[in-house]
Amino acid sequence: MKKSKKLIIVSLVILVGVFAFFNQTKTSQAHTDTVDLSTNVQEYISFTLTSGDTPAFGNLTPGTPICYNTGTVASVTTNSANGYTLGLSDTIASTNSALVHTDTTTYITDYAGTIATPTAWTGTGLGATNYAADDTHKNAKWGAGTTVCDVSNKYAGIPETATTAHTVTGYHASADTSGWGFKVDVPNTQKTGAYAGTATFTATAVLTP
Amino acid sequence: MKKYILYTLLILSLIVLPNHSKAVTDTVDLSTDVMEFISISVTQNDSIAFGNLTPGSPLTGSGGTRISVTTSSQFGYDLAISDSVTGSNSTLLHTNVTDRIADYAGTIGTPTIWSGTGLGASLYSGTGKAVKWGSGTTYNDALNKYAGIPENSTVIMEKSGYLANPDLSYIGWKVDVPNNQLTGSYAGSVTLTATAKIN
Repeated sequence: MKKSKKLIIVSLVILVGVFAFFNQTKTSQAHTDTVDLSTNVQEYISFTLTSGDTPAFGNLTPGTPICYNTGTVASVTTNSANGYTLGLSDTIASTNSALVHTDTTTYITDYAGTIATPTAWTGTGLGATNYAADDTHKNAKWGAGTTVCDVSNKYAGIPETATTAHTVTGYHASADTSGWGFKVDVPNTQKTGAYAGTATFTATAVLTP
Repeated sequence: MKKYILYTLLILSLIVLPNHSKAVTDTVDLSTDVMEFISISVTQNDSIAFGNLTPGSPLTGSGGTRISVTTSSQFGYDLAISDSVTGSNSTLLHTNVTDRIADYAGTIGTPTIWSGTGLGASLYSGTGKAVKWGSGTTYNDALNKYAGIPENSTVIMEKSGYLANPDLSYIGWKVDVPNNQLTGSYAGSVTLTATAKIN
């Protein structure tokens, strides 16, 4: 009996030893490392005039200004964090506007107001106005008008080279729009006939605020 | 070494690329048709007082009538004359409101060197003066050719092309009567009409 107890104790010790051995081999060591990912998203910008891109003023009697009653809507989509600017130009030097006679020599002049200081309509020439803009981005210098032919609109002649006429700050997840109007009148001495021309809008993403 | 260069280029590109801005454009096509403007004004001698007229001794007044026309027409304008008086009578009406001095016999179609009696007009100067009006250059030039003034507006001068400035023309007047013309005062008006050409 005494011998059996001894055998049992020895067997238990062996079992514990074997268990401890196998249990010890199942314990693993873990090591970590990381992958650092980065990118710099570049700007995207698209621009289109969604309406009013062919203002036809029709018959113009000197001294009776015509406002083209369909607004030109500029729609800009950009991912720029700092917004965008919208410039106006006509590539025509000096005080002439884009509107040239079929004789290719005679021009209707620019309206006297400037993009820096637009003025309520008075006088003659071809002028542009920013009568509306998304959010609160319309600059007060363009007057208090809210519709395309509002008498409270203020007008500017269109310069030869692209000049910022509208500035939108900050990021915009969706398309941002602005409304533009055109008005024209001529002096009594303006040569009769058909005049035509092109003005260019340029949308530029702002990279640094 | 290669790895170092690649990393350097990547960092540089991230620094440089954001400074390139993108600009996109769209255009607006504008057009208009400018209509004509025209004005006419008699700027000198709009009242011709011939004075006492002895039958057989024609008078030309003291100067020509200057007409100024301003128009934006690219095709110019027509200058016409009329007196609203029918038949061969002129505008010069006696105070008895019945008797008239006759029209001069020459016509606007064919003016003639002065000969005979009546009230006549001559376009003696103008940028669009036709040869038919004679070679006179002053209001009382003997080389002027005269025409009676018709009842209805009839063109005496056609001016072509665009005029940036007012265009001037001059009319001389001449009158004589036969021996049997009723004595007394005669007066009347002549109308000058400028019409812009539209084609």
